[in-house]
Amino acid sequence: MLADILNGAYIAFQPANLSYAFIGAVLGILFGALPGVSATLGIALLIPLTFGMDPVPALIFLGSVYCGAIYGGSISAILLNVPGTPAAVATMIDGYAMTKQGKSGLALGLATVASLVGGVASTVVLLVAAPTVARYALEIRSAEFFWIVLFAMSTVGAIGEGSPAKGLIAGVLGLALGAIGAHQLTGSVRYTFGELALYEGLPVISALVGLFSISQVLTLAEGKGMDVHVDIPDVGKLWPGKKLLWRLKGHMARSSLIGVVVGLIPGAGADIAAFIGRTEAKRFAKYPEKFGKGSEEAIVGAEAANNAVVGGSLIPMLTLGIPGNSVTAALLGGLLIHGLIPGPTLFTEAPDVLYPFIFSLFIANLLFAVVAFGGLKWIAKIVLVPQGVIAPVVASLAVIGAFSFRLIPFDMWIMFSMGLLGYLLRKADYPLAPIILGLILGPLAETNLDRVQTLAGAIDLTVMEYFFQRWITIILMVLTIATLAISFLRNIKFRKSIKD
Amino acid sequence: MERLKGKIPDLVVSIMLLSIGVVGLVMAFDFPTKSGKWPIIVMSMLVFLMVLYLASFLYGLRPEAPSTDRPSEHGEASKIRIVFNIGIITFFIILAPYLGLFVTTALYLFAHMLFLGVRPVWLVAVCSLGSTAVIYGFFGHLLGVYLPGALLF
Repeated sequence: MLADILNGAYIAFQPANLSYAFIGAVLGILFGALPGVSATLGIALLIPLTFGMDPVPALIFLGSVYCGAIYGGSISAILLNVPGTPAAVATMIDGYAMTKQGKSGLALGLATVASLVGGVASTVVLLVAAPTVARYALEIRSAEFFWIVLFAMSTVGAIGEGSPAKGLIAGVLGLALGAIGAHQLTGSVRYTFGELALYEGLPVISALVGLFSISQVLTLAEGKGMDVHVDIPDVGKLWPGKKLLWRLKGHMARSSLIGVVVGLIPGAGADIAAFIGRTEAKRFAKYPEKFGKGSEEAIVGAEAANNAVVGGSLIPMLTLGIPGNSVTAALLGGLLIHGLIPGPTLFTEAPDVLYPFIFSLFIANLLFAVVAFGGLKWIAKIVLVPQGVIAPVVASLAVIGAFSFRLIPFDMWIMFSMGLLGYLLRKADYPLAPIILGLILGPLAETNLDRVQTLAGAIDLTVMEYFFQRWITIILMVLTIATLAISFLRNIKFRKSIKD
Repeated sequence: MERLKGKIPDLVVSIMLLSIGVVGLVMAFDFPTKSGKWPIIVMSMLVFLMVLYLASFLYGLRPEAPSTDRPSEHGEASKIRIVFNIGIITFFIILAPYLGLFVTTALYLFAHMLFLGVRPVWLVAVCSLGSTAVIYGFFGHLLGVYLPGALLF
């Protein structure tokens, strides 16, 4: 394993790969800084365009976009009071308060350092924990895998944003869309309506691109095209100083840990981590009264946590093939188009791709910090681009991406249809991430259920009797039922909160 | 009808998802046993959840229920704008295989930016040509992505 890690570091530090990481980090920051363009949308748009690359630079590029975008969201949040990504909302509260006090440079500097610390810490955890988890994951059988998928889907309602009922419905809709195409064991065709392009199922990339980009384009297009913020405050000096950073080290360490743990939980994303990080920072703060009025502790608490989600969220994705949130679902699509099937065997079958990818996350974190300290005042100007320009450019990238992936014109229509569906669902306040999770996890659940049925039949057991054969399956079943119950209770609370 | 104000998208989506579930379920019964089992499970779940959701939705509409109305964010003009936006993207997709992505992208960007109110026109032309050049130059050449041509180009 040590040889794989060293080889991974060697490959990641090759000049060509460093340049891909640099381009990815810069693009990620730009995507993250643009209000309305999230990390998921950025990755979804760029995945089809990495199709022609080798797997290593493609994954290095996409991983760097992920890191850069999560950090980039804080730029517009701090400078304009508009979060570039949902993960930056927690940063916005105190970041913008500091901007109003003329301390935008300090706020951005703290956000940059905290993001760097959170990102690097979570990558260390990923590097150490993922191979160990993968080793244990090799022991996981079909019955457990089936329940892991159901557990992951159930947590979407229990933890995700907005109405838990709508989160669950969106997840089930994703599972339903995942049933399109030929059955993996029998080859029998389902819901294709005679369209050959659907034989292998709904293409995840086209669906992902459409769902996140076209729906966002239509949302952006509701406003006036030249709506733009024209006042960007002078950023000034970014470096917060050693003394202040040393005082805030505890918050950064705690929030990094929170981010990693939250990242591990399916359905919980960087936005949730940022709020927990901020809340915990307040609990341990030296100056809790400053929270909401421009607290340095609040900014580092939120930013270290949201960036630490990156490494944590990649652990279940790389070791089990289960994406915990929409960004890792998009990244999983990136792995799939390069012929890499995420799961425990990935660490033994493709270490020459996987370890360079993990090392590139270290590099990406360092690079976005370098880029930020070197040229943030210029990068921040991206927020001057009007939405009337952003929306068509995003739509054109979506169409080009959908077409260039398989060179099938029908994929553009799939992408567009999914975009319209996504827009309608957005209007009705349905979350979109569970749909992609369901679309990816549905075929996995079905395949494992088929295997369980075969195995159970071979020893004259029913499927349910087979599930009760192993205690891990029973624990997973209990956890799934418990999270569904939590979703139900949360839904009652959610409806009550709306009425109040 | 008054109580439905602001909830129409929710109702439309609920009915649409219920319809998808019902049609999917009916179709699933025609699939061979082995391949139909999972679609039956999933579509049944969708129908079940949508029936529950619609029941709670209709319960919330009763006269004595507390109002949860949200003011509509955009008026009729916005809806018409959305229809035009959808139309412009539809034309882009229809024309792309015939005119080639490069030409269609430039034309689409010009038309859509103009429609979205970006002015002056020379800026729209520069933005659309510049964006197309960046997309093709950056991805097509720098990153080596294959970007397909079409009948004319």
